Amino acid sequence: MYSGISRQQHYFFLEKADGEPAMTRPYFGISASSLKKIYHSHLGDLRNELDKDTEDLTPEDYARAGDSLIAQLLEKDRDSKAWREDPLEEIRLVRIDIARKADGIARERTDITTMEVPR
Amino acid sequence: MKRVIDWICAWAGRGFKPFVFCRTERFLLRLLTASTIFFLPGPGEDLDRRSLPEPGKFDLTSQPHPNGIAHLIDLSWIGEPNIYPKLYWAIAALCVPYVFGLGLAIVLPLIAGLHILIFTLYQSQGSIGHDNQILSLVLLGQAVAALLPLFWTRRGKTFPPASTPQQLRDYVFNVSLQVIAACYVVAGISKLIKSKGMWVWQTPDLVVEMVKTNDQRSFTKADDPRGAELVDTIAFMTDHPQMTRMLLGGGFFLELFAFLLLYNRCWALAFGVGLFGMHKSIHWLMQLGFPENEQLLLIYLVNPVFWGLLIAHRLNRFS
Repeated sequence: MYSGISRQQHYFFLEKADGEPAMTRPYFGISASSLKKIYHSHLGDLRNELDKDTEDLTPEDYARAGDSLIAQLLEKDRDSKAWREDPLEEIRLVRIDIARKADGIARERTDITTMEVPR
Repeated sequence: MKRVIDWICAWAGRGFKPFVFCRTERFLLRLLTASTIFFLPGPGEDLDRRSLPEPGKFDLTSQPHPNGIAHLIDLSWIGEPNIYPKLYWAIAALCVPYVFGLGLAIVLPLIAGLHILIFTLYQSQGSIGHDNQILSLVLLGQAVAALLPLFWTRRGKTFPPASTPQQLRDYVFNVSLQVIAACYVVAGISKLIKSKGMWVWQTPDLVVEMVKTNDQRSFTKADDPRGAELVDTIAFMTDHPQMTRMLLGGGFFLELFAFLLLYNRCWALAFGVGLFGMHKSIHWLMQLGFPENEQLLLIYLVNPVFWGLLIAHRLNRFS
């Protein structure tokens, strides 16, 4: 179970060009939970490369980490049923921040990056 | 205060002795441990990592985010289509002498080493989890337990933790129990440190994690019906924070005091049932599955083999 509990959390998901979610399992064989972990690995690499603290990262840096994540996902074979039936032309990486507030749970959306899928 | 300390010392002195295993139990524990490497029950498609992937289902030929020993050596060769099947079947072949208790000082380090290498490559893809960790650690502990006594006996000395032939045979299994206990105690201590002692108090905030995992499921697979089920649970946790602390705090104390499972077989059973229940409830609440943990808890702590043999023995004596 979680060693640290916070009132705030976030996760990521992928979106198609039409705004519908692109399910991570059928397209890339991973869960949305793994998507988040891989994104943060890329962000950590970038932070080390730029020699920056987390609070100094800019939206452009977050977008660069997102681009690296999508590029890694696209390295995989695209021969699953989902790719054959509904090939993605564009992928948007979206971050959702969740917070526990007095009146319930609040969600906030941030678009991290959008990438065209090379043929 | 002194009387309490004396009582605790006397109580501890009556337990924490190495467990004694009969030949049938040792054989079945090895068989079940070997089977855990390859087979795990449950809905496999819900989790990214399950038991050792079958040949053809392991396609990791790079390590974009090296982890652990992958920092020192490039493990990407393991996933090559002409290499991985050989490693898979090598582990399967090594498990045969392991199950029969033959050449443990040779086969166990090989099984543990290959298991660790394969899952290190798995953990070097950028998404690190610890769901396979306990099995690697149990295998590593068994390998060390099989090797260590050799260093003493080769010098003509008695291995201190296992001075009799029976203790020597049981040592591998007693170390496995210690490794399992250590995994949970470390998890408990890390919660204690990371939350500055406030973990139980903060448990009502786990609703945020539940919302997150629930949302994530809906972006993983389209046809996931769990969302509606959890709405009531989230509302309950929000409305009843004290009850939530009591319910979830129990799991924390089970982890922190898991070393008590080494007291005797009954305590092992009690902790086995408790920790297994904790995993099942976490799986239900947060979709965090730890099938290796659950299976090893059933094998080594709940241990139906021991209790079945004990009941059969008692029935034979009275009939």
